Amino acid sequence: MNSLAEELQKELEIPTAFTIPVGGGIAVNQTVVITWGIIAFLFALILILTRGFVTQNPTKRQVAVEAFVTWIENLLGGNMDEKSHRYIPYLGSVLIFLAISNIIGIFDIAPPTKDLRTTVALALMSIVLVQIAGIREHHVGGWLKGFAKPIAVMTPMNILELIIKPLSLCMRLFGNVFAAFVIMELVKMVIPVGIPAALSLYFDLFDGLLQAYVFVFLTSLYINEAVE
Amino acid sequence: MLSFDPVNFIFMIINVLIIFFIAKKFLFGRVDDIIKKREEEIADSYKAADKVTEEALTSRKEYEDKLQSVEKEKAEIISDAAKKADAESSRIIGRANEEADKIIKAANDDADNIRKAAEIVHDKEVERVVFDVAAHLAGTTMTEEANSELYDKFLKQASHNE
Repeated sequence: MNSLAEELQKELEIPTAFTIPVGGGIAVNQTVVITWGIIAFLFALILILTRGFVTQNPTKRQVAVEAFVTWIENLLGGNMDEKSHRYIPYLGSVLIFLAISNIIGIFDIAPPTKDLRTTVALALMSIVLVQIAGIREHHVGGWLKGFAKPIAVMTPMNILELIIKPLSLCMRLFGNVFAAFVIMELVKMVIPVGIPAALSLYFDLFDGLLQAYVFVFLTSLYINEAVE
Repeated sequence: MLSFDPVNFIFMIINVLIIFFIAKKFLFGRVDDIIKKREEEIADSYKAADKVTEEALTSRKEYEDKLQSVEKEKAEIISDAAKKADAESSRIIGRANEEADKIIKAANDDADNIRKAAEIVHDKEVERVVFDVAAHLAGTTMTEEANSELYDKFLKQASHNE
């Protein structure tokens, strides 16, 4: 049992990929490097897919890309106010990044979302975006007054929410991916062949995509709430 | 595992921002642009089609108006022609009547002349009879009785000659 715990501990360590020899040496960890890989892959894919767009007689590739983007915009815009539609590209980008990150485990690459730093970074950015949306809509005064709504007694709760919301966002995402990773490792230790492939479909594909959607969906709800 | 180093954290934030800019500029931006452009093109072509339809309707109306005025002109020309033809025919008939009158008059004149000529011939005959009578009488004495007898004879002869 001890060895299992140690094994898991080892699996969850984020190793340092390389050190930038500046000053005392900046350790760049594996997650960041994998994310760079995802960025490169995404950039290349997008450039290839969106090349030579035309308005008439589009190719099948263009129709597919347009359908995909429109689908994402409708998926996110459907539960958002008209005013907050300007944040759709950010939410869409996060959705695509999270989807790729979460299902990358299929290819035996450590998912960046398994690293708490990633989910914390995303949650922090989300909550900053929510506050920016609120300030943009109601200006600083209105935004500050918003904390005392619906009644002044609620002010401490509303301020607490500033921490609770992103915390729940990042913990949910991290917890799911983390748990899926742990379960998959355990299963692999017990039955190395067959069963892990089937379970991976659920934990990596289904849960991965679901959690990506949940994260973005909740962020869109918070934005909607902020601009109201 | 849960150790927190700010460097990699900042790297992650930068990474997410890079992904956002790439996706916004090259994926969402391009697709939204092309969809907007296409909608504009569609709106333009609708407008163009409306314009063409309007022009077609206008020219059809012009054509119909022209057709109507042509009909009117045609009717005018036909009625003018009919009037002219009427005038011409009555003129011709009038002239023909005139001609006929002239011819009849000429024929009457001729008949008159012939009758006059016949009268002249008759007069000449009477004259000849008178001469005959005179010649006959020349050998006889003119008494009252004889005279009356002669006169009767003359009348008898004259009526005989008639």
